[in-house]
Amino acid sequence: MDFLSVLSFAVFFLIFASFFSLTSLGLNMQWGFTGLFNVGVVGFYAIGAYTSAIVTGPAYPDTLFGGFGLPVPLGYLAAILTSALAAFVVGFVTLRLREDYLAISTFGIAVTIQLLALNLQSVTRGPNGLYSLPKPFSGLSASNLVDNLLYLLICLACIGAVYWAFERMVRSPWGRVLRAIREDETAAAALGKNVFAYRLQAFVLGCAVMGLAGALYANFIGYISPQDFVPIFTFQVYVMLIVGGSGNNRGAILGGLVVWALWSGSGGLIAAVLPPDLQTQAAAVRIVLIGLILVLMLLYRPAGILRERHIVSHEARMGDGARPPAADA
Amino acid sequence: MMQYVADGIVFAAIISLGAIGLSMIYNILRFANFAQGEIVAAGAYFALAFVALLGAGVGAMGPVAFGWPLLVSMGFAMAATSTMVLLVDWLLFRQLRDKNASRIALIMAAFGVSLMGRNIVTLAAGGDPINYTFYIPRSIELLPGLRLVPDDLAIIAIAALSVLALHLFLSRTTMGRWMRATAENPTLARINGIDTRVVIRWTWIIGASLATIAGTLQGHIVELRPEMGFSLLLPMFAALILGGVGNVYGTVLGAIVVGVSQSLAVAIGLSAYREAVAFMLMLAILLVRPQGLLGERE
Amino acid sequence: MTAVLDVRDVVAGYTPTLQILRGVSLEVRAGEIVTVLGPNGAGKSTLIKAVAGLVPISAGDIRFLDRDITGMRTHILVRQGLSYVPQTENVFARLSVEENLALGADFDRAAMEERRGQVLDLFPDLARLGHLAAGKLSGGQRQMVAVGRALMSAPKLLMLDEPSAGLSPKLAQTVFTQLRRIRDAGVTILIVEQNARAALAVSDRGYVLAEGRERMHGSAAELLDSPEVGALYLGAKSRLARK
Repeated sequence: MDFLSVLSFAVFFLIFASFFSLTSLGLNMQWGFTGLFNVGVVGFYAIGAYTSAIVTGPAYPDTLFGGFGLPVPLGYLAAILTSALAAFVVGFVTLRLREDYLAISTFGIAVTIQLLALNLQSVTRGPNGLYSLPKPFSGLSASNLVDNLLYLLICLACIGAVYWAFERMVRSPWGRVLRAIREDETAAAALGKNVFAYRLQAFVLGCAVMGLAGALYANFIGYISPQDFVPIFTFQVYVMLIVGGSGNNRGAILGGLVVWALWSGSGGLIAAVLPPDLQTQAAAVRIVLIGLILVLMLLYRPAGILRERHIVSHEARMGDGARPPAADA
Repeated sequence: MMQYVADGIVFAAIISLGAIGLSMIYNILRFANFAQGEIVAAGAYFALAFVALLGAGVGAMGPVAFGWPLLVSMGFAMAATSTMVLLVDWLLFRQLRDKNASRIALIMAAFGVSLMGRNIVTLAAGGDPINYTFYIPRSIELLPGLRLVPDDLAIIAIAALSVLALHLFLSRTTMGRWMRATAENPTLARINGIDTRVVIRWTWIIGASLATIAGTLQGHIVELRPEMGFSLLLPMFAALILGGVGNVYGTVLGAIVVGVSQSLAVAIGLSAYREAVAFMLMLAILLVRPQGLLGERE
Repeated sequence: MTAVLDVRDVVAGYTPTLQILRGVSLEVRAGEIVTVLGPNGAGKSTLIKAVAGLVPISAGDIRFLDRDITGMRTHILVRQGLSYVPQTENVFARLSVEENLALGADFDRAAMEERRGQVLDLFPDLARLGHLAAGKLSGGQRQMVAVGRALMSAPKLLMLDEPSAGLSPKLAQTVFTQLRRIRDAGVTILIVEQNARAALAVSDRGYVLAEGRERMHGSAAELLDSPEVGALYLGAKSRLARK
């Protein structure tokens, strides 16, 4: 392998890793800083991808809506807006209720988006997907490598901007309230903080970033279809965030890079080593393994997942009429 | 119209059996069990294994295209699924409870189990759809304009009998009383001398057994696929929330609402969006009456 | 007289870093009514919960009827004759009064009828409320159900957390009178109370806790006469609180 092909591969790999890192950053705002469990990460990512595809894509002969062919930055912007809007609706309905409801509803969003992508033929072209999506800077040079390098720069700029903004936000008084809510909702509410509003803001922000990541993906790869947005994605992002260290923005970015390297590396290994008729099984084994990693981390490294859970206001615990705990083991 | 309602009730029968397990886990172990769909699927596939093992096909009862061989296999599958679920609880959920893990950690673990479960089924039985048997459904006209396949009627009957049995269990037996007590207040239950570990075990067994019935019936009228349970998860959650968390009978009512709505969605040409209809219903009820149709305000 | 309950130097709390009891000793002898007094946050409720196996104990030991029960699981303690009535949420609101009572004796069905008779003797009102959901009862009636339910397990020791909280003075008085009857029927009683006068009036002895430690103990009469207890519970500035 010559240097150029290694470089091309590295750039391609980093672009993909940056989609995950960005999504992981968005999830960190929700899960890491606010303690919101979003089961539908892939749904918001898909909303972003399809929005940008519809806004920037060409007109297809068989669709009734879309194909606006607008500049790519507008596609990114629209992706941020639509995923934020979807997040607002789900969050508005469920964030006042017990945490299970958010989990169930975000799961519902992911399923619904998948159904729309598959069946709303007049917009999404169903399983055939949307193709020929424009990629910024393509055609600027004859070399695909230069295109990709420039796209990588866009991705890095997005990650950098989100990182910078999130770092400032979580260190601001606003971020302190978020952490207070995560640690002890009742105490935060007692201090006069509108817990619901803070949660909703964090949730919408996180989903907007996931939507942006989806849009970056769509315009890079140029072709999207429902098979690109399956539940395993949500899983991967959680594992990335947990491995990187939830509650830590740099960790979220790094986790995306490391876990994506392991994931694609193991995929390459399976493809190279196993005969074709065992590939389906191998893919299933790989998914079982990532599930196992998550479960084992929950069991043996909960600190990485449930940071600072031991700091609970002792007023709440000492109260004699405290809520009954879950059934004894 | 009546036809769609009837079709919806057949679907409701299956959802309610799966959702009752979800509801009981939610009430007693206090978390949303995202792996319930895989319990349904596991039940269906265990039944398939026992059908193969017995080697007597699925039998027949008059016009109904299944009989005692399938029902016996289903019985064995209930035991097998319960054992499997108890094992997972022992390996995973019990440990999380011992560590006083948050509810979110439990949901996340269930989410992980769900993903693993689907893929383990794929590994064990392959990803392609399978049937217990091939039969040509012959519908009979019950009323003018209302036709049902005898198998559908049998399914409604089995579901109704299961719910009745559950009702008698919960209201008449000591373990049933213990379960209701633990659901309401686990600490007070322990103060009453109730061993909540035993209650938790029974909760899993009942939930898994009903899920096995749901899976087997679904497998019989549609097909077996590794994702068969996962695709029932959203309707099951919708039934749970619509009926009112904390109320098993509400869950049955919720299942009927979800089943009939999904069937009506088919009637107006939205058959591809059936699950989304369940989801919309769920969001709507959360907006106007978060405690559900039969639930009490917390 | 033998000790029914013997608590020695118990350190306990909900988390290892936050101990609420910091070395409490206490003894309850057969046939006694003992009251534990103390300001809010002194650890009174935690003491009862630690005995009932609901709070982890990190040091010291607890003996019940001459057996070491430190760290034993709650449902086993209950089956051995140790009964506990929490201050709040002490009945199953969605279950009927009958079912609440039955739960108290579910692990010993043979004796259920006899005990139900004894409980209804003590609280005749419960007989006509049998089929109502306990959540529909008044505060006083609930308290009767809670105590009745605790007695269904035929306890050797009955522990009550603030049995008069939220009740009118008249109802509170009735509760304390009934506690005396229960004791006379052979049940040893440990009460945690804010209502010091009324509780000490029916008690044999009392303990005063402050900040997770025992401040003093003595006979009920001694405590009632003590200027310290008087200062704490009759409104005057407390010397204890300043320490």
